Amino acid sequence: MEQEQNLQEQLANMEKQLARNDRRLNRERLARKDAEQLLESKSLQLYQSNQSLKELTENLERQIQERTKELENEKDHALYLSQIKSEFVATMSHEIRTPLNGIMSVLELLQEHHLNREQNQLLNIARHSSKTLLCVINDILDFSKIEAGQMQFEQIAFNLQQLLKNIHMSFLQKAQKKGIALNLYIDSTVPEYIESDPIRLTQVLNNYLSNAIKFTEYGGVSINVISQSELINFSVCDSGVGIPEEKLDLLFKDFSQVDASTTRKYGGTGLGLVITKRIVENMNGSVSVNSKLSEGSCFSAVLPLKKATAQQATDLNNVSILENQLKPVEDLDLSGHDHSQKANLEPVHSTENQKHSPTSHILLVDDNAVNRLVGEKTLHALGFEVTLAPSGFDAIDKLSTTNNYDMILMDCQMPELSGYDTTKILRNQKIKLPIIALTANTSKEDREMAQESGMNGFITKPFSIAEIRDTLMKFLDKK
Amino acid sequence: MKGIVFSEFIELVEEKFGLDIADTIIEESDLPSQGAYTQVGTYDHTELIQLVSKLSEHTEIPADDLVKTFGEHMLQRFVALYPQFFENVDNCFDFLDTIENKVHVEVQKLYPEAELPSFDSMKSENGMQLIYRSNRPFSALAYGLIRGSATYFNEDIDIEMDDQSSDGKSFVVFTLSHKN
Repeated sequence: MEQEQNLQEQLANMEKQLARNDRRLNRERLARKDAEQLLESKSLQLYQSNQSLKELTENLERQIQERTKELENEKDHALYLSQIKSEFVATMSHEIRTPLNGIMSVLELLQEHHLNREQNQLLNIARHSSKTLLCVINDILDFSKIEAGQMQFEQIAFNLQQLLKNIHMSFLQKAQKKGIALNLYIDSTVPEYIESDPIRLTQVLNNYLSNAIKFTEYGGVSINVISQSELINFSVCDSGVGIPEEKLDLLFKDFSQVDASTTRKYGGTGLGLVITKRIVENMNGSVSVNSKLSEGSCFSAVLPLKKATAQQATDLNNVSILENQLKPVEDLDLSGHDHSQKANLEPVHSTENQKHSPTSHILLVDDNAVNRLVGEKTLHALGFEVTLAPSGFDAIDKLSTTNNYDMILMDCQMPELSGYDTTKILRNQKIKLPIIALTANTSKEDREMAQESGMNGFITKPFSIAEIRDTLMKFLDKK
Repeated sequence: MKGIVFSEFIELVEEKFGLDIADTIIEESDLPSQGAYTQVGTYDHTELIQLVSKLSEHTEIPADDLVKTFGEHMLQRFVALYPQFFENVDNCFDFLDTIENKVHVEVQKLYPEAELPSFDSMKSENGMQLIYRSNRPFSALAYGLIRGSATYFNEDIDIEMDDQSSDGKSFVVFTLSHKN
């Protein structure tokens, strides 16, 4: 009885337990389902947030693309403006050179007159100023040409040793006047002939040398050339004022000079070294500088070396621009004595002048009245007979009626019929007279065009009396 | 295969055949999941095949029939769990037409990894064609779902099954038409 009661109690307990377990199972099951639904709704939220994020990202990317495009457009526009400006500067520089040519030529002519000491002094100031101005304009023109990617480079074989000696000679007088030494050291490894751009190389060394001499008061300047396997190193070292270390980095940068006071003390556009650097880089080389304050500086240009032979070489004397490049600006001499070309060249050539002038008749073709006037005076001063033609058409007319000319000086850029076209027509008419181009443009293309059209030589404006005389003599001698 | 199919299956077995049978078929099958399913998980579809065949053994009901019945039940569960899919449709064909382009799209949002069967549908004047394609052999489940939809919308529909499956891939054309 008691056992039965116990069993019933146990059974009742077990049933209670089972019922409790069932309820628990159901609660767990419901909890699981709740969790599952919660998870799904969270998943959906996550999906939606992801979608919003994706849209946001896409919007941002679109905005970035739009902004980038705007910036690119602005950059293109800025570059376009910069290029327009460079072209404007190039055109202006060119336009300034033409009247400057007139001024310089007139000053040259004045020099031929007998002037008193004071007049000579004033004339020297005017000559020096105009030459300095020409250098500044040339710097600006070169810089804007480089900026606009229009600077021409060529690769010709030439006598390097001769070029270096010429450059050395051209600065020697200037150095001597300052009482400093100027030495040229060419290492035995340096070949006599190389292939490069002699005009640009001269420009680079001229730049280094005029700086070195300008900043050196005691001691001297040396040009050192050494070659090593595939490279050739041109360096110009001086014992001058030197450059503070922190300023060295600025040297080859656009529009920067070591300091403003330097500009005032020594002058210059601050473009020389920038142009030098760009030129050397365009020739696949590199520039560098070492300097110590009050001990001196050493500027160098390392260029790729390409050896050449005498047979391949171009005669540098035929490249008339070199003569211009080789001439450093003369220092101002207030004494009234002229130490420049006149003193050097006139005694040598004066007899030759007399020998040719009475018989030589020159036809000068130029559309610019000032140029014609200056040209006429210059040629008269040299003792030539001159006939003027204001256009190519007029020149062709004159040559068809008269044939007593010995030479033609031809401006290249004339309206309607250019000097090149005029020359072509004359050559077609079997006129064999020497024709010398007169131009302010001295690019490789211009020289090629002159040669192709049948011209025999090239004189760069503005020209000096000595220059024009030398070139004319060369051709008249041949004749 | 999505967990909801497994969890609903086990619950249906428990309900129709009792906890013992449910426990037995789980014990007798070789299940990597050990029969612990949740709606939000994903499990190997062969587990369902094993469970169905064990159930068929114990109940002596053909497996296809079991799956068809399960399909019909699933439809009711979907109505309960996801009423939003049934809100803007008022007939069986319109509903079936939304599976591919609406229901599955929503499922994919929650379960981007889900490998869903495709249900291309074409309605015609008298009825519609549903083309079921799947990597798994569950056309009977599809049949049950279609049948369940008809029941839900209270429509009397004939379902013809043209099984063109090959290479272990299901390809079944269901042709549906209203009776009478």
